[in-house]
Amino acid sequence: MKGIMFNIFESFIIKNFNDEAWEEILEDSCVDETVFISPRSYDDNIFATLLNTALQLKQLPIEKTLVSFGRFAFSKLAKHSHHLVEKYDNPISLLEELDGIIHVEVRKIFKGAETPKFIAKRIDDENLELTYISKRNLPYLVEGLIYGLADYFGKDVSLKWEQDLENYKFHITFK
Amino acid sequence: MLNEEILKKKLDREKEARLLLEGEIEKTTRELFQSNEFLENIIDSLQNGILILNSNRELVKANKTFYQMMNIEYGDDLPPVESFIWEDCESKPEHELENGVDYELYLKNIDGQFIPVYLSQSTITNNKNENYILSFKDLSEIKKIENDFASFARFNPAPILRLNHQGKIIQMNPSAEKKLSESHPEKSFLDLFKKTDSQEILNLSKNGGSLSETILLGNEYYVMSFKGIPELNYIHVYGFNITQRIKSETEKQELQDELVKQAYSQGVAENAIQVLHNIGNVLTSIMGKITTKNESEILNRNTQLLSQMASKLESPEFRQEMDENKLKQLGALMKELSSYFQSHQSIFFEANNYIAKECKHIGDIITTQQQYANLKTQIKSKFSLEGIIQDCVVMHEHRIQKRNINLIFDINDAEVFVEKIGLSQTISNAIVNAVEAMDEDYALFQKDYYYIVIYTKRNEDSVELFIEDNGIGIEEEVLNNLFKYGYSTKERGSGFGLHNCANYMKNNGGKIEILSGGRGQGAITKLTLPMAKE
Repeated sequence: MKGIMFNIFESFIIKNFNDEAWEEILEDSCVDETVFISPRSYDDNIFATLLNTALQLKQLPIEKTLVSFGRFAFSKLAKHSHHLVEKYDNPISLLEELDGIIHVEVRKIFKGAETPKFIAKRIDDENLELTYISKRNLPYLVEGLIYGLADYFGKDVSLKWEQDLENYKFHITFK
Repeated sequence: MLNEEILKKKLDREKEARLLLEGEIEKTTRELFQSNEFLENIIDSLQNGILILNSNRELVKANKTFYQMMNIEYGDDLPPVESFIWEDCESKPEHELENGVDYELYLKNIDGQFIPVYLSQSTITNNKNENYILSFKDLSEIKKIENDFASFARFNPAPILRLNHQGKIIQMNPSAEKKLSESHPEKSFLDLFKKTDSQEILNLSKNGGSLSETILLGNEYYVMSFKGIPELNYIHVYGFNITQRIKSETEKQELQDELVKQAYSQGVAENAIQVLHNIGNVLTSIMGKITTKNESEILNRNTQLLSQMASKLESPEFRQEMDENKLKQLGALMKELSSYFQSHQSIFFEANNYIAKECKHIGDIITTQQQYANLKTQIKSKFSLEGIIQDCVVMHEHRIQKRNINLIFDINDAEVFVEKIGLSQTISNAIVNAVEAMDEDYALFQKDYYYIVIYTKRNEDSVELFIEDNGIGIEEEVLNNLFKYGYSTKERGSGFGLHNCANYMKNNGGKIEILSGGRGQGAITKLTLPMAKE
C-alpha cells in the first residue's frame, strides 16, 4: 500500500483522537516502519497491524471505522490529486472512468501502486452497479470512499453491496 | 506520554520523512532521465530533425521532426542512412563530419524537394561504443527571408543590413557594403554607434522592438534603424539618408540667424535714431530759449550806444555843451539802459538755468543708452521690470510731454529673466508706436485727451506688461501681418521692428501680442515675460 494511505490514516486518528493516540498505536503495533512517505510503497500487513491496534486500543467496530476512514480518505485523495477529479461534473462519470483513466494516472503518480480493480456499469443517470475486485478485501473502505465521493459532488447516496465469490458488487444510487 | 515527548517524536519522524522524500525524488528523477520513453519524448519534441546512429552509422532512431522534413509517415521505414544523408545532399562535405561544426547543406526529401539545413554532429559514447547524433536545422524559413531580403535590398540605394544575435553582419546590400567599406573599413558595424549601447541593439534580436541612431557614413548622414526579429534571432538595419534634410535645416537655421541678426542690428539702429531724435527735441527746445537775432541786434546796438555815450561824456566839448536839459536826457537814457539790462539779465539767467537742466536731461538719455550699449552680449539676466520701464520712459519723455500725453502707471513690480537690451528695445518700440498712433489719431480726430497706460499683471511663472493707448488703433487685416518680416504700415518703416521684437520675445521664452478693436479704437501691446525664479 502506498505511503499516502498511511499518512491519511495518521490524520484520521489525530483528527478523531489526538497525537498521543497515534503515538500509542505506533508503539503498541511494534511495526518496523514508523515513518511513511506518500510515493513509497509499504507492506499491506503494516497497515493491517496499525488498523487492528487502533481498533483494539480505542475499542472501535471495524466495519464502521473502515467506512468512516474511507469517507475521510476520499476528501484527502481528491485534494491531493485534484487535477484527476475536477474534470468530472458527477460521481457516476468519475466511477465509470475510475479504472480506465484515474487509476492509470494514479499509477503514474505512485509508481508501483497496486490499485484495486473496479468494473462500473451505468444503469441510468442516478444508478450504477460497481464491481470491486481486490485481494485486500476492503469493501467497507470502498463504501466509505463512495460516501466521500458523494460528499465531494454534493450528492445524497444510498448503496448496498453483496459478496460474489471474491468480488463485491455495489448497487449505488446518487441523488 | 508527555506532550513534549510526543512533539519530539513527531518532529523526529517529520524530519526523517523529509529526508526520505528527498531521496525518493532524486531516485525518481534519475529513473525518469534513464528511461528511454522519456528520452524519446524529448527527442521527438525537438524542433531540429534528429538522427541517432550507432557506431556502424546505422540508424537507431529518427525523431518526428526528421520524418516531417523527409515527408515520410512517422514510424515508416526510412531509406538507408547513407543514401539520404550523403547521396541526396546537394553539396556534401568533402571530409568526415567534425563534431560541433555547422554544415550548410541541402537535404532532399522523398518528394525530391531540397530543404536547406544546418547539419551538425555530436558523438556520445555508451559502453565503449560510439553513437552519433546528427541534428538538422531546417533553414527554409531563414532562406526565404534571406532571399526576400536580397531581392528587396539588392537595388535599393539605402544601406540595408541583417545582423545575427551577436551583431555580426549576415547579409548586406551593395549600398551598405560600399558605404561601410568607404567610410569605416576597419571598424565593426556596431562600433559606429556611439549613443546606443551595443548590448541594447543585440537585445533586440531576443526581445524585438526597434532603435535608431544618426551616424555619418562618408559625407552623408543616415538614421540607422534597427528592428529586432526575435522569431529568427535577427536584427534588420535600414539606413535613411537624411543629409539633404540636415543640410536644409542648417541652411534654414543660418538664414534665420542672419535675419535675427539683421533685425537686431536694425532694432539697435532704430533705437539709436529714437535717442538722437529725443536729444534733438531737447536741443530744439534749448534753441528756443536762446536769445533771438533781433534781441541780439538790440543788445548790440544798446551796448554800442552805451560805449558811444561813455566816449562823449569823456570829451571836453560835450562837457562844455552840457546843460540841464541834456543831463536830464542822459539820465533818462541811462535809466532805460539799466532797465533793459535788468530785464535781459533775468531772461539770460532763466535761459541759462533751462539750458543747464536740459543738458542734464540729454546727459540722462545718453547715460541710459550707454547702459544698454555697454551690454554687448545677449545674455539673460534677472532685473526689475519697473526699472526698465522707467528707463524707457526717460528716453521718450520728450515725445510724450510735447504731445501732452498723459502717462499713467499701474505697475506691480516683478523680476524678470530675459536679455535686457532686447526688452528695452521692445518696450521702446511699443511706446514709440503708441505715440505715433496718437499723432495719426490727432490728425484725424483731434481728441481732447490722449493717454498711455502702462500696467502689469502677475501670473504664477510669468508677468504680463500692457502698454495701452487711445491712438488710431489697428485694423484686423493689419493685425494679422504685424509681426511678419518686412511688413510695415509706416511710410519710413523697415518692417524689422516688430519682427525683431517677436523674435526676441520668442527667444527669451516670452510672447508679444498686439490687440486692437480696429481703427479709432486704440491699441494694447501685451508682453508676456518669464519671471525670474527665486
